[in-house]
Amino acid sequence: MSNTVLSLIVLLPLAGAALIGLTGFLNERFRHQEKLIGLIATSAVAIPFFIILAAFLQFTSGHGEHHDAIRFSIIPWIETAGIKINFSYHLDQLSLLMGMIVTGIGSLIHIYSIAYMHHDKGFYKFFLYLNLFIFAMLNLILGDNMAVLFLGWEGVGVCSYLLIGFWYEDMEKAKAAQKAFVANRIGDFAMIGAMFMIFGQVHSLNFADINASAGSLGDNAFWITLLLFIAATGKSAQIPLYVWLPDAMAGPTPVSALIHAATMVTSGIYLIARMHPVFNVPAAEPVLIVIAVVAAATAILAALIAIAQNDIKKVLAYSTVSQLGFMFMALGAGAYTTAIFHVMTHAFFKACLFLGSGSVIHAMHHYFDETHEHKDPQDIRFMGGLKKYMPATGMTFWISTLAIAGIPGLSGFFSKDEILANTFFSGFDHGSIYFIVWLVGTITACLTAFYMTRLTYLTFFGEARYKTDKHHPHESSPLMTIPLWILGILAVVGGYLGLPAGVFGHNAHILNHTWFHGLINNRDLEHTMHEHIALEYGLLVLAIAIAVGVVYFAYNFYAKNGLEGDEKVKKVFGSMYKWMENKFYVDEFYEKTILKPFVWAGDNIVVWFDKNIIDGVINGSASATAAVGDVIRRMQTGYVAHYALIISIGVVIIIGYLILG
Amino acid sequence: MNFNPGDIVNFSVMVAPILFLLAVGLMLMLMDVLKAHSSMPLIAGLGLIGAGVLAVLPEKISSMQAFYGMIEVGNIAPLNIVFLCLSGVFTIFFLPDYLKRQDKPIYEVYTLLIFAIIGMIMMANASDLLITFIGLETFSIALYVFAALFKKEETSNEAGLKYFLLGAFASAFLLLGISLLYGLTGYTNLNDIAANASKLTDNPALFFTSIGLFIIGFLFKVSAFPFHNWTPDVYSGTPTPLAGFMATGSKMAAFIALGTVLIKLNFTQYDKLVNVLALAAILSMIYGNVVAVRQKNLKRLLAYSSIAHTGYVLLGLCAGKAGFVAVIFYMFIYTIMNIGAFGLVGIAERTLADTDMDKWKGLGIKAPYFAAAMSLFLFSMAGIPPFAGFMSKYQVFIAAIGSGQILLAVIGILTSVIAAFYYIYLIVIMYFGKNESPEVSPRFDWTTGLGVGLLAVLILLLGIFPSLVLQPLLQYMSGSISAVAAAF
Repeated sequence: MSNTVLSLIVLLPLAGAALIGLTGFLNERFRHQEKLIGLIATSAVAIPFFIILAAFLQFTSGHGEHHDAIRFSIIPWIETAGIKINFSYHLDQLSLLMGMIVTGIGSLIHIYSIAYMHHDKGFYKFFLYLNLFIFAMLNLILGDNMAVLFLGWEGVGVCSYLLIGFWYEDMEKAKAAQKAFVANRIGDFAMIGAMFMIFGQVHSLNFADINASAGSLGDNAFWITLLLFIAATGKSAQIPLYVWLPDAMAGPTPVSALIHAATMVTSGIYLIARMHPVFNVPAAEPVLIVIAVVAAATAILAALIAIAQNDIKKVLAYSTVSQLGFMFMALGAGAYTTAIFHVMTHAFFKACLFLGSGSVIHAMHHYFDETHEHKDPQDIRFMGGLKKYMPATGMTFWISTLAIAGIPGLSGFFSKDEILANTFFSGFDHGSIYFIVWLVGTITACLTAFYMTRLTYLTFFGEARYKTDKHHPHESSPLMTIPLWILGILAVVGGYLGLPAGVFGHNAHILNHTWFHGLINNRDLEHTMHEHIALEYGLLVLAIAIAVGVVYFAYNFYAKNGLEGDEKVKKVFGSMYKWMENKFYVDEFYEKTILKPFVWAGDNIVVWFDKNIIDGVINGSASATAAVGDVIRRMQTGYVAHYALIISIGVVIIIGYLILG
Repeated sequence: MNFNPGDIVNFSVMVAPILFLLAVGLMLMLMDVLKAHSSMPLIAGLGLIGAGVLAVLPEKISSMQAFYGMIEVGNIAPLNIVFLCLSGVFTIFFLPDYLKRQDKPIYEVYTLLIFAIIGMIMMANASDLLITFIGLETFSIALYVFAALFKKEETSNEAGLKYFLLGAFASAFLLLGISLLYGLTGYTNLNDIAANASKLTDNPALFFTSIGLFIIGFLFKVSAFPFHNWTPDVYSGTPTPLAGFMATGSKMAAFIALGTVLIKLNFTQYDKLVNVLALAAILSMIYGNVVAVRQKNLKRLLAYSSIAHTGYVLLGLCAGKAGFVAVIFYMFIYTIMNIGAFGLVGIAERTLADTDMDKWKGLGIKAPYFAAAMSLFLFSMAGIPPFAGFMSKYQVFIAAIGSGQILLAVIGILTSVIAAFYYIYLIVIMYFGKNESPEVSPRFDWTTGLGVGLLAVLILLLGIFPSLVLQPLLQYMSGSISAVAAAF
C-alpha cells in the first residue's frame, strides 16, 4: 500500500476532528445534525480500521517467517543540527494488533455514542474530542520513535482530561479532572526522564535503534526501566498513581469504555512491551520484580475495593485497575506477549461491560425521569431484574462477566490462566517472590469472580427493586445493542488466539508462536514449564475450579440473600469492610501527605523568609539600615528596604563564594 | 583607528533597523502632539515589523561590528532584532483596548515602547560593555515609566517607585562590575577583553568579583532568585499588557546580553561561575513554582511563574555555548505565551475590574473563546506537548543534560510537575467553577482578538514545527557560537 493510503490511518481521525470542530464552531445548525456528525466521526475511525485490516492481510500473506514492518511517514518534524525526527510510523505485529483494537473498538463505541449522546447539547464537541483521542492514540501505538509516542501519550491525556470533565457541573468533577491530570503529569515526567537517559546513551529515539542497542545500556537499564514503569503507572493506573481512574468515571460512559478500559489505560503495557529488550537486560531484573509486586498489590487492592462499591461504574472502574494489575503481573514475569493478549481480551469484555452499564444507566435515567423519582441511576441497589426488560444488554453483560471471571472456553480464561501460569513458573527461575505474586493473583481471581457475579446479579437478576406497575425501564436502541453483541461475541471467541501451549501443543498458541514470533522475546520459561508439565495441568484445573466454583457460589449466594448478601459479606470481612468501602482512604492519605505540605509550604515560605531571614538581619544590623530605612519608610513602602536588603545579602553570598569558595 | 567620514554612512547602513526605529519613535511623538492618536498603535506596530524586516533583509554575515567595535551587526544580531521587535508587536495588540481603562487614554506608551526596544536591541547586540550599560538604562527608564503609567493609581505609583529604586540599586552593581573589568584589562570592548583573557586571571579575586557583580546586575533584570522580590509587586502594579512586555522582551534582551558576554569570556571553564548560575536556576525554579501554587491574584501568579521560567532559562545558560540557542528559543516561546496570558488577564481585568482568580469562575461557559485561548497559553506554559512550551523546555533540558548538569535537569523536571498543578488549577476554575453573580464577561475587540489568535496559532505551529525558529537560529549562529545539537 502506498504511503498516502497508509497516512490516512493517522490523518483521517484528525481530519474528522477538524471538520466537526470547525463546522460546529462556525455553523450553529450543524451542531444539531447528529446523524451527519455521527457519520463523519464514525467513518473517520472505521476507514482507518479497514486500512489497518488490509495492511494486516498484506502482512500475513507476506513471505516466510521474517516480516518487515510496513512503514510510512507524514512530514518531517524536528530538524536541528545532528538530529532529525519525523512523523513516521510503523505497522509491525504489535502495532497492527493494537491498531485493530483501537480503531475496531473505537468504531463500535462511536456508533454506540450516537445513540447514547442523543440530544446532548455538546454532541458535536463530544465527537470532536473522540476523534481527536483516536488520532492521539494512533500516534501513541503506531509511532516508530519515542518522540511521536510521547506526543500521542500526552495527547490522549489531554483528550481524556477534556472528556472526563465533559459534563462540567461542579468542582467535584473538576477536581477529578485535575487529579487525573496531575497524576498523569508525574508519570509523564518520568517518561521524559527515561527519554533523556535513552537519548544520552543511544543517541536515537527510534525504537528499532533503542531495542537493538539495549544490550549496551548496562546498568543504566535499571534506571531507564524504572522510569518507564513509573511513566506506565500514571497512564495505566497502578499504585501509587491509580487514584485518578475511579474518579474519571465522571465522564460519559462511552468514554469510560473507550479510554478508561480498552485503549488509553493499556498504553503503559504497550510501552513496556514495545521496549521489552531494555527490560530483558540483566540489570533490569529487579525492576521486573518491582513491577510484578506493585501489580499484584494493585490487583488485590482494587478487587477488594470493588466488592464494597454500589455504583455500577465504580465497580467496573476498580475492576479495570485490578485487571491492569494482571497485565502488569505478566510484564513483571517477562511474559510480554501474554500481557498484550490480556490487553486484547480485556478490551473486548471490559468495553462490553462498560457499554452495557451505559445502556443500563441510560434506561434507569429515563425510568426515573418518567416516575419523577430522584434516585441515582448508577446505584445497583435501585436495580435488579433488569434482564426481563433489557434482554440484549443483560445477555451480553452476563457473557462478559463470565469471561472476566475466567469461565473456561471464554476469552478471559485463557489470558488470565496464562498470566498466572507465567508468574508461577517464574518462581522457579527468577526468585520465589513470584510464587507470592502468583498466590495474590489467584486470590484476586477469586475476588474478581465474586464481585463481578455480584454486580451482574444485583443489576439483572432477582427481584426488581423499583416499581414496575406503570412504567418500567426499556431496552436501548439497536445502535447501542449491536455494538454490545459484537463485543460480546469477541469476548467469547477472542481467547482462541492463545490456547495454552502446554496442553494443546506448541502451535496452538497462535499469538506467541506465529504472530509475535521473532518480534517479542518473552523471558524463556518453556523449559521450566516442560519440566513441570503436571503442574501446568494442575494450575489449569485450579483456575477452572476457582472460576466455576466462585461464580456458582456467588450467584446462589445473592439469589438467596438479595441485597442482604452484602451484610453477610460485611461480617466476613469484619472491620476491613469499612476500609474497602472507603477505598482504603488512599485519597485522604494523599491529600494529607502530599497536597497539604505543598500548600503549607507555599503559604509559609514567604512568611518564614521575611520573619527569620529579613527580620533577623534587620535586627542584627539595625544601625546599618537605619539611614536607608528612614527614607524609605516615609514612602510607606517598608518592603523596599527588605528587598534591597535581600539583594545585598545575595550579593555578599555570591561574591563571597566566588572569591573565597 | 583612523576616522573616515565614509565610515559614518557605512555604519549607519549597518544599524539601519535601529535608526529606522528611532525615526518611528520621533514620528510617534509628533503624532501625539498633532493629536493623530488613533493610528499610533498601527504606526508603532508597522514600524517594529519594518525594523525586523530591515534586519534580516541583508545576507547573513558572520561576526562584524559597526561604529568601531561598539555594536554587533553580524552573526545572530539580526535575529535578536527580529525577536525583540516581535515582542513589541505582540504587546501592541493588547494595548489600545486595555488603556481604555483610564478615562484619559495615555498615548506616550507607544513612543516609549519603541524607545525601550531600541535600548533592548542595543544591549542585546552590544559588543562593548558601555553600550551594554547604556542600552540597559535606556530601556529600564522606559520600563520605570510603564510601571508608574497610571498616575492616579496608588499601586501603579508604588510599582514604579519600587522598580526604580531597586533597579538603580542593581544597576550600580552592574556598573561596578564593568568598571572592574576595565580596570583588569584596560578595555571595555568585549572582543578586546576576550583577546586579553590571560590578564583576567592574573588577579582571580578581582576577576570573580567583577564578573560576579556583572552577573548579579543581570540576575536582577531577569528576576532570578534571590534578586526576584520586586517582581510580584511591580508586575501587579504595572498596567497588565506592559507587565507582560516587561516579563518577556526585557528579559529576553537581558538573557541575550548576559549570554553573549559570558560565552565570549568562555565562562564554562570556571566552575564557580557555573555553580552560581546553577544555584540561581535551582532556587528560582523551586521558589517561583512553590510560591505560585498559593497565589489567588492572577498577576502575582504570573509574576511568580515568571521567576520560575527564569530558572529554566538559566538552566539552559549553564550549558554555555551549547545552550545558547535553547535560551533564545525558550525566551521567544515564553514571550509568545506570556504576552498572550498577560494580555488576556488584562482584558479580564478591564471588564471584571479585578485580577482575583475567583472572578474567573465559570468563564469557560460565559466566554468560551477567551477561556479556550487562556487554556492554550496555560497548557503551553505548563510544558505540555504539542504546545510550543514543551519544545522550549525540552531544548533547555537537553542542553543541560548535554553539558552534564543532570541534577539541574532533574530538578527542572520535578518543579515543572508543581507548575502543572497551578496552571491546570486555573483552567479548572474557568471550566468547572460555578460563578455566583451574573457579571459581565470579558470580550475581545478586534485588535485584541487578532493578537490572541495570532499568538495561539504561533504556539501550536511552533509546538509542532519548532524547526521554523530553531533552524534560522542555528544558521545565523553557525559563525562563532556553534550550535547545540538539540535532540529529537
